[in-house]
Amino acid sequence: MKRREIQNDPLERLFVRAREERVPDDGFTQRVVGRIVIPPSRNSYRVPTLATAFASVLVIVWMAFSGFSVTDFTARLSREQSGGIRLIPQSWTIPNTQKEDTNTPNHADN
Amino acid sequence: MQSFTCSACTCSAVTRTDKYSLVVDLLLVRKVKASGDRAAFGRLVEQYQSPLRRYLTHLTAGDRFRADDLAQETFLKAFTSIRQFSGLGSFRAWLFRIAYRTFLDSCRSAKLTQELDQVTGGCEMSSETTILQSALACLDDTERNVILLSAVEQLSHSQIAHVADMPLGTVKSVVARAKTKLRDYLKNEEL
Repeated sequence: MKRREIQNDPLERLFVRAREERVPDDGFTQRVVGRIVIPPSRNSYRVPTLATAFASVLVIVWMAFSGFSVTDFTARLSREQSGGIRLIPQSWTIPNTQKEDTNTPNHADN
Repeated sequence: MQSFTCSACTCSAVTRTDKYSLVVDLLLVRKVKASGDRAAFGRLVEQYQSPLRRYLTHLTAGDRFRADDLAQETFLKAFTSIRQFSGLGSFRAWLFRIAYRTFLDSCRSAKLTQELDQVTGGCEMSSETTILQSALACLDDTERNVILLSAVEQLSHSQIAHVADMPLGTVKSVVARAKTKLRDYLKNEEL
């Protein structure tokens, strides 16, 4: 529609004025953004799941290569008569390298 | 660059400024879709809050408080359902579609029987806006919605068809009919 026609047409003038009307924000955007709740993403569940799976794989690999035997382990746990439960394999213990000193008063024959 | 309006229809050709705005909208929407970027969505709200609140104010016969509530609800719905926006159409039209649906739902739930010839308070309106509100009261709901989207919010006929969920031909005839009624009203009121 030509500008002159718009100026002469009261309806078009009303529409033009309505289009020009601006609504001030007055914190509206802040209120809307403040109400937004971001749902947990699907990825937030993947990290713990992957970590558990990785740890499980590590345990299985360690059991396979360290000569770990489930039956030995359970037998060790149930052994009460040997005077204690040895949970750590003997090969892991540090041997006592301290030599006996015969000159010490405690070990003297006299 | 001003938009060009042809006399044959009320649709506006997409100007260079409009194209730039469309690209910016799509980039912001993409950010929101990808990571729920609140800052990007805030920019979209900032850009569309004025036309959306203006549209809803006219739909609610000048009730600015109700229009603001509906506008808030519209933006929140838009955020939660942003993934449903394909990006092929106009974000503006998609937003107005949600706004119109929200307005209809609120009318159904509240079972309002508000007399539309009574312009309600809640905002200070200019005299022209008051006259327009009075004139819009002589239209039915469909005509009012279509003429607001076409003449005030300047959506194209195809966009209005998407917003109002009606055939394109119907949109054109409703626009013409509404304008005739409004002109008759203004003539009778000697405005």
